[in-house]
Amino acid sequence: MTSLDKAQWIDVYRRLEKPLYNVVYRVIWDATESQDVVQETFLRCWRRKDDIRADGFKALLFRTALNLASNRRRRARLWRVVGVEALDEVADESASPHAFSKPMREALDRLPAEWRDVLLLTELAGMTYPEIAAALNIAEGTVGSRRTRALAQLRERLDVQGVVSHEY
Amino acid sequence: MSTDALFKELEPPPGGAERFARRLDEVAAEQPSSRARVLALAAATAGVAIVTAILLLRQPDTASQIEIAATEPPAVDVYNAPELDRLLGRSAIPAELMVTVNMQAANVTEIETTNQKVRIYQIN
Repeated sequence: MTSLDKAQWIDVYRRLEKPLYNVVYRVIWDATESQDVVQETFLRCWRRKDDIRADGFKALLFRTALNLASNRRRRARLWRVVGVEALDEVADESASPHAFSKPMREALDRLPAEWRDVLLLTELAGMTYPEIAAALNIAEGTVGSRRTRALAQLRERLDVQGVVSHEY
Repeated sequence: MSTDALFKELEPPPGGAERFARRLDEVAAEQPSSRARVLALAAATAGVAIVTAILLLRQPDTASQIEIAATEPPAVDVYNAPELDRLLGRSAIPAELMVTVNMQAANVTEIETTNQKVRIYQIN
């Protein structure tokens, strides 16, 4: 790897760390873990750098990040099932720099994963419908319909829980 | 009802790019160089060539193959066996009827029937 390559990768990391972090954080709800997932995402893509097309790079990054985040979330749940509380679960409540109430997190967590992914990419990644469609390998029309359903269900749950009306 | 609060923009922990640069260096150091990959590929190719050559040199000669073939029972033409006629929809060739009475071959005469599936013989 030449220094120019490395500098370019770090530059891309700086530009995309924030949107990736914001997406991943809404899946695993832990700041340190989320940043680790973002970095792991870049490292995985770097290993495949010879196969990456420029026009599909962003889609690949977000798809990889969502997959890695979902895997970590599943692993944390598994540890919880076997009776060992994951470290991120312990750290989350007290040490997280971002304040989200438990009902808010639960409302998002309870969405079907495919709806949640679309919603996170539309609201936080600044991606267009065609880009999201490419990233998730779905039709553009599906992006719109999933977003609409996800938002409706999210609002309904937040209303039922009184989160929106009480906290905002 | 707004869900904006759920999607407010968060700042990642500081120092992420520096940590990523260090991890990138570590991963790059672990990756085998292109020269090492070429050498590994060459070694693998050479290994395959040597094994192939050894296998070819150890092939038994023709004489011993013939000898082995001669000891084996004659090959049976399974496809043309009468047992497969019905299965393959072929018309069966009627077998010659042999009847023995008191250990001696007897003459038989076929009697005509109206049912084509039934054959009646008379022992003379």
